[in-house]
Amino acid sequence: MKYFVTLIFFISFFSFAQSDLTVVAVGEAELDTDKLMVFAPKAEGKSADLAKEALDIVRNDFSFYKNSFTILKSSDHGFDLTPEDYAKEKYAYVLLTLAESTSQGVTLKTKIYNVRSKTDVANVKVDISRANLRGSAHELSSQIYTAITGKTGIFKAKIAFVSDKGSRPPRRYFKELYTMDFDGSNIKKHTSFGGIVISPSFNHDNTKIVFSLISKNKSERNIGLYILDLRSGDYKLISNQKGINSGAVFSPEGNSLLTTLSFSGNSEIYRMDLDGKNLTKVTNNSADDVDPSLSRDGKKMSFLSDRSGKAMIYIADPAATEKNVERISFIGKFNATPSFSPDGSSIVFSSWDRTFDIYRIGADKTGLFRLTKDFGSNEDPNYSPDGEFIIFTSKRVQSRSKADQDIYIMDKNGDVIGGLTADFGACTTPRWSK
Amino acid sequence: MKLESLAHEQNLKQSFFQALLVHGGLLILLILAAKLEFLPGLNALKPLSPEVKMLQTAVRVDVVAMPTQTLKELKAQEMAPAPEKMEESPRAHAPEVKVEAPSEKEVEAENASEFKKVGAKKDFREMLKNLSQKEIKAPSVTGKTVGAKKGKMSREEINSLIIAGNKLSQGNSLTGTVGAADLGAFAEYVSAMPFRVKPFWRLPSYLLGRNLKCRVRVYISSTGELIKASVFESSGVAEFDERAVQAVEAASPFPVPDETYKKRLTQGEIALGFPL
Repeated sequence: MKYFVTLIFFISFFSFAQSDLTVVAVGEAELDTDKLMVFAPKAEGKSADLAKEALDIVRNDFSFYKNSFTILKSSDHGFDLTPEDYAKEKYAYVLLTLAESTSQGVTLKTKIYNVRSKTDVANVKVDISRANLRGSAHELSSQIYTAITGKTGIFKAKIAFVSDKGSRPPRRYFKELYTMDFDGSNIKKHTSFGGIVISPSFNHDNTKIVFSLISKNKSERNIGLYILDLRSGDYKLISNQKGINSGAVFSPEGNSLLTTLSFSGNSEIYRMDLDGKNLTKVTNNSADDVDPSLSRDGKKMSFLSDRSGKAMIYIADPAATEKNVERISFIGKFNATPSFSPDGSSIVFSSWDRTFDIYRIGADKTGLFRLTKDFGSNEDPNYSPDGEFIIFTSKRVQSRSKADQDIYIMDKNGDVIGGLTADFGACTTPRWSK
Repeated sequence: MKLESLAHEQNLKQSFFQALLVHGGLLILLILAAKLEFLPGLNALKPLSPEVKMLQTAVRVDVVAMPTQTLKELKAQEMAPAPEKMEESPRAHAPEVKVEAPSEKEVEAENASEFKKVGAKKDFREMLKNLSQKEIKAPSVTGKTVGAKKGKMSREEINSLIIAGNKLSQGNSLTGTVGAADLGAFAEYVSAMPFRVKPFWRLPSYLLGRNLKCRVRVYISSTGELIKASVFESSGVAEFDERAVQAVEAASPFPVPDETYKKRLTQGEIALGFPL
């Protein structure tokens, strides 16, 4: 009897599956952008202009995330509209801002409303002063972005770079260290060596920058390694071994550096303490190993090596010497400057193909994509701290004696958002803060 | 004693027939229930049995050069609407199959298709010439490089290979020898569907990257109109399922199916996987 029942069940299951079904994969979805309505501030008197300017900066900030948000503008303050009105316009989020005058400027109280779920996401409050308009507006953007997405945006991130602005090659040729906001504003000069500064990199809390310097003194051929304290402006020579001391990056804890040293005759990547002591080899190969770049957790390091006979990208565990070394790239005439995405999933690099162009490859060796083309010669890509953007330098030849080199920002899929520098000399090696 | 055993036997016979009747009825009921497509609950019950065929339109291909097209350009190509003539689309998307150590069988298939297309326009001699030019020695498994075949390929062909270097090939095996074309006209029709649906497959940021997946069963009329799209395997998130169904609806109408398999389409033998 039992068997009979089981038999019936079996028969019925087969009849369920009787009709053939062919499954075909559509693939990953594209991102649909959310409409973000930024209403004008509700303000009176003298604070109105300042509040308006601050919100214009917020709109501009959010326009960088054009894959996630479509920014809408209104001259109305929006307080009189109902949730039904928002829904009718298909807004995803609405920003309602109340401006209150203070002695320094204006306080903006912004309500973030989620139209779909009909809930208040958050209320944020930021003091805006004329003196720190951009900084405080970026702060407001940052709080709004985090409230909506739960992630940290790039609005408060800085970019360190090197420019030859003001130099007169070949007789007076120098490159100095600068920093700027993520949107290219607020450029600050940090060094005046008169030599050539190369490869800057921020530490974990963005209070220090490590860089290398080719001294203007012709007798001193070494490339020395320096650490600059951004708060005091003091700098210190930490490594001046024979040969190069360059391409340094801080460990995630900020207590050690990974850097390329060539005192042994060929370039190797070493770990060293912040005083330049306690050297341990991370790579050990008769070929040159340069350009270390770390994932955010510091567990993976990408670097460039010609151990295969050509400059190729490798990853390794920087915890020990030659640990888990894996070759990532297998093609490319000449690959250069690999930069790890913060989550360690992919690497951007430049590769020679008539000009330099930017490419991306997965850390699992799959998904090699070209990101730039017909856009000058593009080098030195670097992932933003949230992994959504890539900054790089692009060089365009204007005439036989003149070429512009500026810093550009694009999203991680190669959609160029725009230039960050203009008429500021030849800008090289842009690096995001952490 | 005899009477008792006779009564017992009769009782047994009676209950046996009763049982047979009940179970037979049950069996018929279950089979009937299985046919009732309109009961949504039953659809969800349906297990993924070995009868379900997975048709993959793309696999990994060894890269032969740095990609010449940017990610943006590749995406734009993918987004372009599929050509009306379904038979041609799989070919258009699989030029790189030729690089990937083509087997003799594949070369034959290639030549056969050439035969069909060229035959209509050109004379027999021209066609023969074409065929002889097309001839490719079956290379060894390791002979994957472009250089090895350079002598027999035109400049354009080589260029197209390089362009195809970072594209995905047709088929679901590493050698690319099993393509949708080998599975018949129906599979070709089905494998071209994602190209139509993909442009409408969009998700807001809060649904992307959550590793959700659903499958939508698609019923297509003999004129290519969408009859119905129903969730076959739910992702568990209503909005995700809804957007997948909307993508299918937006892609309608589909190309007019061939006589030979249009019944399979009206019966809903296709499920689209979002994303797989």
